[in-house]
Amino acid sequence: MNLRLKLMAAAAALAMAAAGAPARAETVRIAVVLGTTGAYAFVGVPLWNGLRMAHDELVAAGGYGPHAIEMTFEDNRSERAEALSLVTRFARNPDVHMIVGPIATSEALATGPVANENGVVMFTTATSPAVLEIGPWLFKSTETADAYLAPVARHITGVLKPASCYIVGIRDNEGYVRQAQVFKGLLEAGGVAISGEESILSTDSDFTALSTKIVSANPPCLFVTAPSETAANVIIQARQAGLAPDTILVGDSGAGSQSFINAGGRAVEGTLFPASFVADASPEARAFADAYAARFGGPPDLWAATGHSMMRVIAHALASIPEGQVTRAAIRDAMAATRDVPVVLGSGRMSFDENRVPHVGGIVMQIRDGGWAMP
Amino acid sequence: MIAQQLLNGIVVGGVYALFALGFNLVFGIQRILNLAHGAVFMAGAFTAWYTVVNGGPLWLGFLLAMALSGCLSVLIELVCFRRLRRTGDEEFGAIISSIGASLVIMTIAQRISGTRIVRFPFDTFPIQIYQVAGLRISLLQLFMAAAAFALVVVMAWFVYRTPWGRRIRAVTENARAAMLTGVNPNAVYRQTYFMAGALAGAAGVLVGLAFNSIHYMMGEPYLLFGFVIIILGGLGSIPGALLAALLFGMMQTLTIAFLPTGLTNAVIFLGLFLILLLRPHGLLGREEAGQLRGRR
Repeated sequence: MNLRLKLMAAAAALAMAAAGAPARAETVRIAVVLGTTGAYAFVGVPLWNGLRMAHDELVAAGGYGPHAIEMTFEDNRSERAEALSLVTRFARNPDVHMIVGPIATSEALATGPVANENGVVMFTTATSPAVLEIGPWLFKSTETADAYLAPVARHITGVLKPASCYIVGIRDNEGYVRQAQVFKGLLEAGGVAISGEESILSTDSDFTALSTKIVSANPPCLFVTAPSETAANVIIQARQAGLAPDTILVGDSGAGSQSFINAGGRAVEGTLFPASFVADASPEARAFADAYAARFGGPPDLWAATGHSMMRVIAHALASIPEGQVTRAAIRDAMAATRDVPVVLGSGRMSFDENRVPHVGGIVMQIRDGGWAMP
Repeated sequence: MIAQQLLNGIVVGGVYALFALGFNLVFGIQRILNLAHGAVFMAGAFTAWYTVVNGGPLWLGFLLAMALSGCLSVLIELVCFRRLRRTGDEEFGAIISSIGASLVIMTIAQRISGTRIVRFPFDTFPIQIYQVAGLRISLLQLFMAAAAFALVVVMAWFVYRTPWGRRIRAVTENARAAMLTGVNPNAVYRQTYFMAGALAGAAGVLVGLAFNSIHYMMGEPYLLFGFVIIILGGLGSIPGALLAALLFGMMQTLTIAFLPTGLTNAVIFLGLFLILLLRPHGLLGREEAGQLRGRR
């Protein structure tokens, strides 16, 4: 083969490669970083179940439009340092188009700047609005504490009307600190006094002294905002220390998880919590709950519904991007344009406002007979 | 509320004492820090939990936890320390070796438990509150205090009032001299490690019952507490460790109760620092006890 033929063959090979490039680019790679073990496993496990379930449904229904989706999952073990390491790895990999996760505000605040600097969408379940202030590449699926705690605070101040409430929160996670502050403000605005306010660490397990303080204050209402198993543990130890049986127990959205019920057992019966998912709220939510139970052997909780809804939002955004034009920036713009996407959460529609704050609508739920019910 | 919190502190201190006494017993006899003691404590808690969730009664879980933890502790002595002891320079080697053993045990527990935090079912222990002289004490607290007290008394009786205990004390004073009188130091070490492990296992069950949180890393903070307690009480001193454990438990409870929660550890450790400034060898320690190479 002479030189000209060699050059022609090389040019043809390059042309074929170039022609093939768009086809490869159409595979959208989503990296999922969640804690499915450790402190936030109560969120991570059902969330990942919900994501996978929605993904399978969307693939079957052609919900991603012309795009093929490839999901890569990594467990950060609920460790902030591992989340940072994983998000950095994925953010710096140009083949990864977007990142789903991590779970906690503390994790999202640590990893968000990396995603933002590398120009990749990070779609997290973090509760604090501070996450969105990191930059335009950050999106979250949970409403702000002011929005989702308002219904349960209204229920307490307007219906149950206790004279006072005792607040226990986590101090090593900004999301929980904010939830405690917001709930305190909502109660005070509604005329309920705060009889005590204590903070714990998410790794604490000895609440003996704290329980004595709570019981000594004899509060008619106790609000605990902490990872679900820690929150259940605080309530159990308060019960063991003699907390009055008729005390109004209030939790955050984590109280809507199966692990809270499993950990707390009878001690957490009657706990009120803000919820964005009710299986009987709509035919779509009921269908999701039935399919989830059939696949995973148990009813879905808020986090399973959140995972399912997040995947729907992602699919809606991707489907709006024409074939061959999927880039990180295109995904960010499509995500920011999310309006009235059908989901199984809240009112059945999720929208992001101009500040990327999600809106789904929430309600008050209660733990009753080891399950969830309207109060 | 002060009296109530002091009562809480005594109960918690009793559990710390169980953990620290075993830790101190090993140090007292061999002058080595067994940093796998926290992992043994964790194994005890998991053993009782597995027994209970599989339908076994709590008392059986408690006994199995003590037995398994004791055996695990003996295994650590055989695998990690015996060969090192032959070299005659085991103090620092034992620290590394026991850290390795601790990591192995914790990794196995992590695999088996799936990194989950587990707990005894809510009704494993009946919730019964008694009012005594204005103080509230639960049945669980009574059980914890009684179990801790009984085990400490049994251990003290064993060490100070039985032929086995005499052998232990003889080996503690001088292993070679004890050997010349017909005492087998290896057998004494095995007994001591079993006793230390059994106490740690019992402490693990009580902590699992009281604090509803059993996980593969639960021994780590107790290892730190145990270390502080044996230093505060005086290295190798059993009465000192008991006193220090109760003091530590009360200080911890009172600081949580009456100080801003973020300051708790800072205040506790500042207090311990001040005590050690006044009594550098601990509350009931002797000068030579703190010297790792002091007795051979």
